Amino acid sequence: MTVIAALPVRCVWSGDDRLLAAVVVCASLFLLIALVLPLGTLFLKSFEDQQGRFVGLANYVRYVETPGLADSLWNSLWTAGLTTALVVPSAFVFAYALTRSAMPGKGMFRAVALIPILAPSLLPALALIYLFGNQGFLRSWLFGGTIYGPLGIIVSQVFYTFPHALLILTAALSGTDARLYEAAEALRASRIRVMRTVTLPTARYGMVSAAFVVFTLVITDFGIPKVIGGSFSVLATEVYKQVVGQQNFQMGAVVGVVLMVPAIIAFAADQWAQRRQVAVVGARAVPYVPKPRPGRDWPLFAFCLLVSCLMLTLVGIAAWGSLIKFWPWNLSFTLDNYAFGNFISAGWGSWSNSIQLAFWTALVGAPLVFVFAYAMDRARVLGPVRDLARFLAVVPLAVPGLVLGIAYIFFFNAAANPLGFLYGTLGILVLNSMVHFYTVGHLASMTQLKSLDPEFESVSASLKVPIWRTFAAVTVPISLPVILDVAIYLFVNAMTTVSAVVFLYSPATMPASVAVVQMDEAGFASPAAAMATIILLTSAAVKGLHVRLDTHLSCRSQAWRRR
Amino acid sequence: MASAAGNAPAAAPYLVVERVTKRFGSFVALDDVSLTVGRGEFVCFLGPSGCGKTTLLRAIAGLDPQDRGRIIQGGRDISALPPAARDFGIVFQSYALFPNMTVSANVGYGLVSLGRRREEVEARVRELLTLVGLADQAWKYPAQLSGGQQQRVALARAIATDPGLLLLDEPLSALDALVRAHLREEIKALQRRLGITTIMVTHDQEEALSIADRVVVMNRGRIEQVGSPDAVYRHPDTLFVAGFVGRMNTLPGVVAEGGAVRVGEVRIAADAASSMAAGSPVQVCMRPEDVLPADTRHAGTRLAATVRGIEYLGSIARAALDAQGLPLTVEVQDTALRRLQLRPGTTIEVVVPPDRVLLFPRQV
Repeated sequence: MTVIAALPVRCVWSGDDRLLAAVVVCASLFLLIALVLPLGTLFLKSFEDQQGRFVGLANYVRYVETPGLADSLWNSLWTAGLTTALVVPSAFVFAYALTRSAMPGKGMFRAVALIPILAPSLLPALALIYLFGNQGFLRSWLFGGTIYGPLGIIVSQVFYTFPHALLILTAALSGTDARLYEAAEALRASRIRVMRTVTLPTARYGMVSAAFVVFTLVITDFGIPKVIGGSFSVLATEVYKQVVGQQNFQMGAVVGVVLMVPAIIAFAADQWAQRRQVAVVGARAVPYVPKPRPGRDWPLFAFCLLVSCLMLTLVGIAAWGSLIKFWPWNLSFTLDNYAFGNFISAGWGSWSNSIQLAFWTALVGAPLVFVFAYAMDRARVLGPVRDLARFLAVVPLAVPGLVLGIAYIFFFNAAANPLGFLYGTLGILVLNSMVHFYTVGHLASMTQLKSLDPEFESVSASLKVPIWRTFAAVTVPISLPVILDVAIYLFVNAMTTVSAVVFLYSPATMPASVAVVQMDEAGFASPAAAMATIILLTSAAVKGLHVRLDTHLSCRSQAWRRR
Repeated sequence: MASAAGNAPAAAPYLVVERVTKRFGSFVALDDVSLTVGRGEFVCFLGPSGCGKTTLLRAIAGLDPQDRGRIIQGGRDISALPPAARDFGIVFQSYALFPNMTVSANVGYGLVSLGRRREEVEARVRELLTLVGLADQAWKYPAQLSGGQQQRVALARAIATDPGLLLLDEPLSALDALVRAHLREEIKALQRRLGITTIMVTHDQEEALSIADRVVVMNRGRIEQVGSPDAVYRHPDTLFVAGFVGRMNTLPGVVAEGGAVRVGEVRIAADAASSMAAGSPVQVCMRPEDVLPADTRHAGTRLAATVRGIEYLGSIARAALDAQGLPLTVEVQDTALRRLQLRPGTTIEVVVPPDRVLLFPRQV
C-alpha cells in the first residue's frame, strides 16, 4: 500500500449548520443587547458622578458612609435569612406530605399552596394591613407592636416565597428511587434511620436550592417592603427611593450593584446544588408509591390543612377587604373600590396594559426561548459563540428585577442609543419581562430537548430533509406541552411582576401591578387590594385555561404517546 | 499487520477509509485507521466498548467528522461533506423513530422531501413495509409496536431513498435474544436481496460472525484484524483478537526445542513453535473445542486431567479441568458428555492437536 499523507479535514457547512449558526448568533445578539449591555451600563454608571465623569469608588465610599444605606443592606440580609429559616422547613414538611404520605386531598393542598404564585407579591402584605394595620381589627394581638416593619415583611415574604420552595422540594422528593426504601426495609432499618440515611440525603440539594431561591426572592422583592415596610428600609426600597424619589441615579446604580452580590452568590450556590442533585437520581429509578400509615398521615394532614387555611385566609381577606365600603367602620359590601378610574388616572386601562404586556411577553417570548434553546443545543458549529449564548441564557436568574429595570433606564434612555425609541413604550416592558424571566423558560426547553432522541437530526440529515422541517414536524409537536408551560409561566410573571417594570412604565403603559403600588402609596388601600385581586383572578383564569388546553393536547396526542 | 487474504474486499472497492484519525480532547478514538469496503459487501465493526467502532461509523456518516485522513465513497471524496451531502441510510440502536408520526409517515419521511408525487411515495412505502413484513401495521404509531417491529420500521426508513451505503449502529442491542437472532437473519437476507453495501457496528461477536462477509476487529482506536468470519476465528492475527473473538484458553509459556512449547512443567507440541526461536516467551492459546477427550483418534500431546467443575449449556457443556497443573477449559458435545460420564472429580485424558495451538509473542 502506498503511503499517503493524513491531511486534516476542514468541514464544509451544510445548510442546516448555517441556519443553526444564524439562530445562535441571533440569540447571542438578543441577550447581548437586552441583558449584557444594560447591565454593563449600570456597572459603569456606578463609577461616575452626576456629570458622567469617572470617580472611581467614590460612590461606593459614600454608600458605606451614609448610615441609612448601610442599614438597609443589613436589614435586607437578616429579614431574608429569617424568612428562609421559616419557609424551607415548613415547605419541606408540606412537600413531604404531598410526595411521601398517603393523606387525602393532596391535589387540593397543592393547588392552594401554589396560589401565591398567581398573585402579585404585595397581596399578602395588603391582607396583613387589613388585619393588623392601623385600622386592623386584630391589632390588639400585637400587644402594642406594629405590623409595619420587619414583622409584616417577614410574614408576607413567607407567604409569597412558600410555593417557590414547595415546587423545588416536591421535585427533589419525588425524584427518590423506591428501591432504596425497599432495600432499607429489607435491611430492617428503623423509620428514623431511613429518614436520616435515605430521605434527607436525596432531598439535601433540593433544600439548599430552595433556601437560596427563597433568600434571593426576599432580597430582591420590592412590592412587600414598599407596602408594609413602613420606615424600615431594605435594599430594594432604597434603590427605588434613590432613583425615583431623589433622582440620584449614581447611588441607584451603586445599590443595584450591591443588590447583585447576594443574588449572584445565591445563584452560584444554586447551580452547584443542582449539578449535585442530578447525580442522585438514576434513569432507571422506580417511582415511590407511599402506603397508608395513619400515625404519619394524619399529623401531616393537619399541618397541610393549617398552612392551606392560612393561605386562603390571607387571600380571602384581601379579596373581602376590597369589597368593603370603609374598613373597618362600615363593613357593607360595595364595588366602588373596583372603579379604579376614581383613584388613579390610568384606571382599568392599567389592567388592559398588563394583559397586553403579559400576552406579548408569552406570545413572543415562549417561541423565541424555545427556538434559541434548540439552536444552542443542536448547533455543531460556532462552538464558542454557542457556549457564550448558553451561559448568557442562565444569567437573568441572578439579576434582580429592580437592577434590570434601572439598567434599562440607563441603557435605553441614553441619548446615543438607536433603540431609545423603545423607551416609555409597551415594547420595552415586553422586552424587559422576556429577559427578566428568560432563564426558567430556557432551562425548561433545554430539559425537554435533552429528553428527545439526539439522532432525530442525524436521521433527517441522512434522509436529506432540512433541519427546519424536522424541527417543525417532529420537535415542536412533541414539545408543545413544554412550550405552552413556558408561555403560561411568562404570562403569569409578566402579569404579577412589579420590580423591573416600576422603573420603566410611562403614564400610558402603567401595568396593573404598578397601579397597586401607586394606589397604596396614595392611601387607597382598598382599591389597591381590589386591583391585586383582579390580577390574581386573571392569572388564575389563564392558568385554568392552560390546564384545559393541556388536557386537550394530551388527549389528541394520546395515540402516539401511550401504548 | 493484517493477513493479505482477508484485507482486500472481494468486489471492487466502494468505500475507502484512508489514515483516519479522530481525537476527543486527549483521548484518541481513531488512530490512523485505513480500510476498504467492496461494493455490495456486508462488513461488521467488532470490538469492546470504547474501541472506536461507532466513532468510525459516525465519521463515515459525517455526523462526527474525523480530524485527519480521507474517506472516499463511490470514487467521491466525502471527507469534508456534511451528512446531508453524503449518500447513506442509517439505523440507530435507539431506532430514532419520530414518535408523533405513523409507521407510513416515518418510512416516507425522506421520500416526501425528494419531491416525489404522492402516489409514488405511497406505493414505495407499501413496497418497503411489505419487504420488512409490516404491511398491516402502516397506520400505527411507533409506541404501539414491539421493539423488533420498530427496528424494522427504522430499517425501511433508512433504505427508502435507495442510499448507496447502509449504516447500522448496534441495531439489535436493545432487543431480547430471540428477536435479535431472528432479525439478524432478516437483515442479512434483505441486504443480499438489495445488494446494498452495509456496515454494521456491534460488540456481539456471535452477531458479527454470523452476519458479516468480513469482520473488522477493533481495539483502542486501531484495527486489529480484517478478515472473513472463519479466518478471524481460526487464525487470529493478534492475542487481542484470539481472546476477544470466541473463547480461548490462554497460558504463559516458553518456546522449547523441536516444535513444542513449555508451560510450567508441561511440554505441549505446537506446529507454530518450529518457526520461533527457542526460549522466546509466548502466550499459548487453545480453543476449548480443540482440546479433545483422548478417546478420539487424534494425534497430539496427551495430558492427564481432573474435572474441577462443569457448566452445562444444553447442546454443549464446558468443563474446567486441571491438566497436570494447567487450568484448561474444554467444550464437549452433550453426547460426548453422556458417553464420558464427566462429573467433578472424574479423571480423563485429553489430546491437544499441535496444529490447533496458537502462539503469540509475550512481553516479559
